[in-house]
Amino acid sequence: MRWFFPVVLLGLLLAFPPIAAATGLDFYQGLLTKIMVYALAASSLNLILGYGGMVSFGHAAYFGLGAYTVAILMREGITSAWVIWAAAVGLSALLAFLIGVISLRTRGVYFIMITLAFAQMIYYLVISFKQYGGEDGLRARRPEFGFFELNDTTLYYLTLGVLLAALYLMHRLVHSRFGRVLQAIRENESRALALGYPVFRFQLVAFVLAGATAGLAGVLMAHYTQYVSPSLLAWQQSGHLMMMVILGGVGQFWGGVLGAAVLSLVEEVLQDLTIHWQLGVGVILLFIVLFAPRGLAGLLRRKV
Amino acid sequence: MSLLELVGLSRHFGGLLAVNNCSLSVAPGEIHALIGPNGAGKTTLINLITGVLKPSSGQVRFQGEDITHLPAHTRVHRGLARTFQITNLFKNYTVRTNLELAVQACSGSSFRFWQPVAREKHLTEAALAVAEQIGLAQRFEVVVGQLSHGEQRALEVGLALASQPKLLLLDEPMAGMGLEESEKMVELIARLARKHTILLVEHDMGAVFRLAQRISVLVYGQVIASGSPAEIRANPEVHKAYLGEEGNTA
Amino acid sequence: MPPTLFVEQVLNGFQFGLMLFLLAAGLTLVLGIMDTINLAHGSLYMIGAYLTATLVGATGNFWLAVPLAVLGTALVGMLLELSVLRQLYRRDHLSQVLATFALILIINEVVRMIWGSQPLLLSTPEGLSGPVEILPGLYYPAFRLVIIGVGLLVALLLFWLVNRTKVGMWLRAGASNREMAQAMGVPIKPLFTLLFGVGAGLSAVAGAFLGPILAVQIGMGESILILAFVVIVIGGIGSIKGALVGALLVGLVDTAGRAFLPLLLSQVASPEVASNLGPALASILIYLLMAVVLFLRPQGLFPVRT
Repeated sequence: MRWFFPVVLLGLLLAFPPIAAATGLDFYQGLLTKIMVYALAASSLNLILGYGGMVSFGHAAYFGLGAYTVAILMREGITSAWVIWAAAVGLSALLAFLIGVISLRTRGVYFIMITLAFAQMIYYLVISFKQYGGEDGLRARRPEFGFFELNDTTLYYLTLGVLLAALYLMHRLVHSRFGRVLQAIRENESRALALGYPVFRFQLVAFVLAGATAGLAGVLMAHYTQYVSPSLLAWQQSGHLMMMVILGGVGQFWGGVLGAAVLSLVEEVLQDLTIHWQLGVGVILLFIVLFAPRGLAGLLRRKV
Repeated sequence: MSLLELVGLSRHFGGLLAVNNCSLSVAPGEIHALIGPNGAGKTTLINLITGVLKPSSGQVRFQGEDITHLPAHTRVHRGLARTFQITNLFKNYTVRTNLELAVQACSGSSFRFWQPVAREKHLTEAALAVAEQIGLAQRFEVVVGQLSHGEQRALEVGLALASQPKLLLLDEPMAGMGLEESEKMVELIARLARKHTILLVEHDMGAVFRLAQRISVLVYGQVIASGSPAEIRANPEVHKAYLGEEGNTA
Repeated sequence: MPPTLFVEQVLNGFQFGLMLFLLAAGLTLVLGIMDTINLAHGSLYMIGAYLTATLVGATGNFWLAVPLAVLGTALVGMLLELSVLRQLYRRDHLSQVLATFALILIINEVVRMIWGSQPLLLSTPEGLSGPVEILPGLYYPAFRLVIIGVGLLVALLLFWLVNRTKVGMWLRAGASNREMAQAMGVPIKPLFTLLFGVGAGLSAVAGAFLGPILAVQIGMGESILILAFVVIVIGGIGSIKGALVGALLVGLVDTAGRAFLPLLLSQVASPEVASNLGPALASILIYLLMAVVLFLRPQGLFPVRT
C-alpha cells in the first residue's frame, strides 16, 4: 500500500513529456525538470543537515560550482558531457573536502558561519573573473553525450533518472552502518566518540558526498537553463536550499524532494500573483519554522 | 606490568591547575578506586586518560604503550572504555539501538554504505548478551528516555562493556542512586571485576571500601596516597584532606 | 606609494570598521547572551538608512532625521523581539537561521512596498560634503571624519553602558552564563527586549551614516550582515571588546586590501593577472583572515563563555 503513491507518481512522471507535448503543456515539463534538479540538491543537503545534524550554510557553493564548471568548460572548447560531468562532480567533491576539513573542526554557530564565509569566498572569487561573466553570468551550452542529443525532453528523463538513482543510493546509505553512525553522531556526538567512532571522518565523508551530489545537481541546472549566474552561488541560494529541506522535513527521507516540489510550485504561483511574492515565501517559511518544524513529511507521517 | 600507568600527568586551564603531576598505576585484574573531594580533578583525570583532553605534560601508558597522543576514539579500540558521570546516552534510541551501536563500533569498519545494518543479526545478538549482563534484557526495546535512573546508569556500563574492554573506567556509576539501585550496581561491578580491570571513581564510600582492592586519593589534582583500603583508612593525610571532612567511613 | 593615500585608506578602514562595530556589538550580545542567531539584524540597518533618507527628505535636516530614525528603528527592533525573536530562544540554530532568513525576505518586501524598488537618495549633510585638511597637505572628507567621531563616541558610550552601569553588568553576566544570571535575579526577558532595541538603534546609526557613502537600497543589509558575523566570529562571540577589535581589523584589512593588494600584485605579476587576481583576492581577504583566526583560536580572539 505504501508503494502505491510513489509508483503512480513515477508512472505519471515517465509519461509526462509525450502528454505535455500533445497538450501544449511543455512549459510544465521545464518546471518539473527544475523541480527535480532542486530535489536532488535539497536531498543532498538533507543528508548532512537532516541526517548528520551539520547546519551547513554554504551548500550553494557546490551547487554553483557544478553549474559553472559546465559553462566554463564548454566555453573553453570541451564539449564531452562525460568529461564535464566528471570534472564538475570531482571539483565539487574536492571543494567540499577542503571546506569540510577546516569547517568540521568547529561546532555550533562557528560551523554555520564558517561554511557561510567559505561559500561567500567562492562567490566573490567567481564574480571577479570578468572573462567568465563576472556579475552578469555566462551562457552554458549543452554538451554532447555522443549517443543521444541533450534537448529539453531528454534532459527531463536524464534528470529523472539521476534523481531516482541518487535517491536509491541515499536510501541504502541511510540504512547502512554508515548511515546509522551518522545519525548517532547527530544525536549525541560525545557519546559516539566515546564508543570509538572517528566522528570527524564520518562527518567529512558525508560532507563530501553531499557536496558532490549538489555539484551534480548544479550541472543539471546549467543544462536546464543553459545559463549560469552568480546567484547560484549566493548565500541566498544556500538559504533557499535550506528552506526546501525544512519545508519538506529535516531528516525525513523525502524531505528534500517534497520541499523542492512544494516551494517551487508555491514560488511559481506567487510569482504570477504579485511582484512581492518573496513576502509570501517568507511568511510561509516563518510559519513552518514556528508552527510546523517537522515540515510536510513530518505532518504526513503523523496522519499515516 | 601495570595495565594503566599515569606518569606525572598535568593539565591546566588558564591559571587553574586541575591535575597536578599525577602519577598512578592500575594493575591488571584489580579494582582500583579513585576517591577525592569534589573538584579534586577526578573527571578531568578520566578525560585525560580517555583522550578527551590533552595533558599539559606527562604520559598515559596503557599495556606498556604510550597512548598520550592517541585520539580518543582509537583508545576504545585499544581496550579502554569509560562511562560518564552525567548520563550520556542516546536518549531517543532504544536500549537495543544504544547497545547495537556500541557493539558495531568494535566489530569491523562502519564505513559501509550499501548493506542495511538491520540485516546484521550478530550485532543484535551481541547487544542482547550485554543487556543480559547488565540486567536490562527485559527492557531491550524500551526507549532510553523512559528508563529509570538506575537502569540508565546500568546502560552506561553496558555501553562500555560492549567494546569488550580490558580496562573499564567507571565515573561515579552510583551517582544519584538510592539504596536498592546502588546495591545492584555494586553487585554488577563485582561480577564484572572477574573479567575486567576496573578503575572506579566514586563518592559512595560504602561501595568503595567493599569493592576496591586498592585506593588512590586525589586532592587538588594530586595523588596524596595510594594503597590498600586498610592503609588508606589509617593514613592521617587522607583523614585530614578528605575522610575527616566526609564524616564516617564504611 | 604616496603616504597621503596610505593614511587616507587607513582612515577609511578605521571609519568602516567603527560602523561595522555598531552592527557587530548588537549582534554579538544577542548571540552571546541568548545563543540566538539573528540574520535580520542587517534589515534593521537597512530600515535605519531608509528612515533617515525619508526623514531628511521630509525635514531637510540630517541631524534631526538621524535620532528620529534611530528611535524608529529601535521600536521596530523591539517589536520584532516581542513577536518573533522570543519564540526562537529555545529553538535550535537551524530554526533561528531559517526564521530570521524569512524575516529578511519579509522586511525586504515590505520596504519595497513602501518605498519602491529604486534606491533612495541620501546625500551627505550640507557643510560636510567637502574635504578638511587634517594634516599639512593631507585632505580627508569632512563627513567621514564625522563618522569616525560618531563611531568613537558611540563606542565609548557602549563601553560605559556595559562596564559601568548595572544594566551593563547584567548583560555581561548574561553573556557569561545565562542560567546563573537568571538564578541571581537578573530580569532577562525585559533586559533582552531592551538589548534588542539598543542593537537596532546602533544598526540604524550605522545605516544613517553609511547611507550617503554606500547606496540606500533593498538588500543593503545582507552583505554587511555577513561581514558583521565575520567580525564577531573573529572577535569572540559575546564580547564587546572582541567586536571592536574584530571590526577594526576587518575594516582595515578589507579597505587596505582592496586598495593596496592590486598595487602590490602589479609589482610582482603581470598587469593582467594583477587586475584580475587583485580584486578577487582583496574580496576574499577577510574570509581568509577569519579562517586563519578560527584555525588558531577556534573561540575567537576574546572568548567570553566559560
